[in-house]
Amino acid sequence: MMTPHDDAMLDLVAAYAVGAIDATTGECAQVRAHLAQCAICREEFKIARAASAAIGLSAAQSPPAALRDRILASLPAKPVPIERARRSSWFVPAVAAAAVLIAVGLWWNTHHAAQQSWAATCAPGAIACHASGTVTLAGGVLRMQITGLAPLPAGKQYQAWLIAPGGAPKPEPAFSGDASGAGSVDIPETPVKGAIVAITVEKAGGSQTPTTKPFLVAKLD
Amino acid sequence: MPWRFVYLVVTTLALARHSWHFHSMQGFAVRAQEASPAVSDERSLMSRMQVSDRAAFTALYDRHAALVYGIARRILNDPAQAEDVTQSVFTMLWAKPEAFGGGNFAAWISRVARNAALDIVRSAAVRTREPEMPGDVASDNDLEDEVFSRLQSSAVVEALRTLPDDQRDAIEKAYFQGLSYSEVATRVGAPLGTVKSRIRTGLRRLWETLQRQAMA
Repeated sequence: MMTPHDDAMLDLVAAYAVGAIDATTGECAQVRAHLAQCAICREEFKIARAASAAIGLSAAQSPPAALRDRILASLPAKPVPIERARRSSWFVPAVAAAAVLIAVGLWWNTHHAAQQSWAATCAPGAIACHASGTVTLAGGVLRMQITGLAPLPAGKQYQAWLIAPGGAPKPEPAFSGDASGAGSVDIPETPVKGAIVAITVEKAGGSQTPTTKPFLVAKLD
Repeated sequence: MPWRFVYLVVTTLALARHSWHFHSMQGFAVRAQEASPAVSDERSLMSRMQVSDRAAFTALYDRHAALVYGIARRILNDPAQAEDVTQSVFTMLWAKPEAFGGGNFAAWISRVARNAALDIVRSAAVRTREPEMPGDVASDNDLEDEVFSRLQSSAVVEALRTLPDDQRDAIEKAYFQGLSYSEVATRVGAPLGTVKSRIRTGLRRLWETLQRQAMA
């Protein structure tokens, strides 16, 4: 069913086009859903988006000539797919580490049948996320172990959230990463199947409701 | 480190569908019955990039480096960091030309540069902006083609000057500082609705001014 045009959406559509909507609010999804069904707002979007592109053009400024030389000189002879390039430095040790983990996991599963584990990965759209982790449930303790955490500004900490299916995020402990970017958090909960563990950046000590978009999530299937 | 930001920016871009139909209602596009030479040329350059054509890369750099560097420099206010972002963006382009999923190339690389620079300004771990328009919002925009094929930077600067201060301030804060409309409202002490309206009206007026310039 077509959604009738709503003048009140026009301002929001323009804000969306210039990237001026906080992605954590849900308004982006609201705008997208509306754009899919409202031709008038799609036209507004196109104009606002083109005007936004023009704003970028207004800043155009020639870079130093030496930069061109530097970039051209730095290009590999052939474009090496980034994943392959990165793999060369860490792939072998990562595979070795993964093999060890698998072996340990098999042993652990044999001896601790009650343990479960899930992978934690970067949330869709979490652009600057370099982290990954594992959530384990053993002995009634839900623990997330993470690597690749970015350093945080003063006054900020990471915080875990447990989200039951259809439920609101429940605040769990705040924590910090160490100098190597590793961190872990124990969540004193027994999750239901399908729950999600999410990590956000919050004020030190944690928040009662998330104030930033989760960048790392694990679904406990 | 910025290199990683850009890589992640690009690898998560929604690859939008590519169709080149021209909009018939806007002043610029009324005169445009087919892709401009610059736009079609860029498609050709990107095709050549897929087979490691350094000349194509050099042509794209020469055409767009000022855009990338200028946006990064305006956002970061730091020439050295702006050079880093520029190098990151173009290195990514060389390594992963398929990251460009279609639409207007200049508009796309502008967004990549803007996002990379804003990621440096803001906490690397926190992102409150959407990285790129999702695939369910058409990225093809013939009006963007018109912006980059017909407009000069100086014309846009001049058009921006004609906007009322509060409108220009709102849209520049959004674009160059990456602020949401609610953050802009807090900064300027204005109601949310007022700021949203300023953004929309400012963008509209800017567009209309640019159209008039192009028609003149």
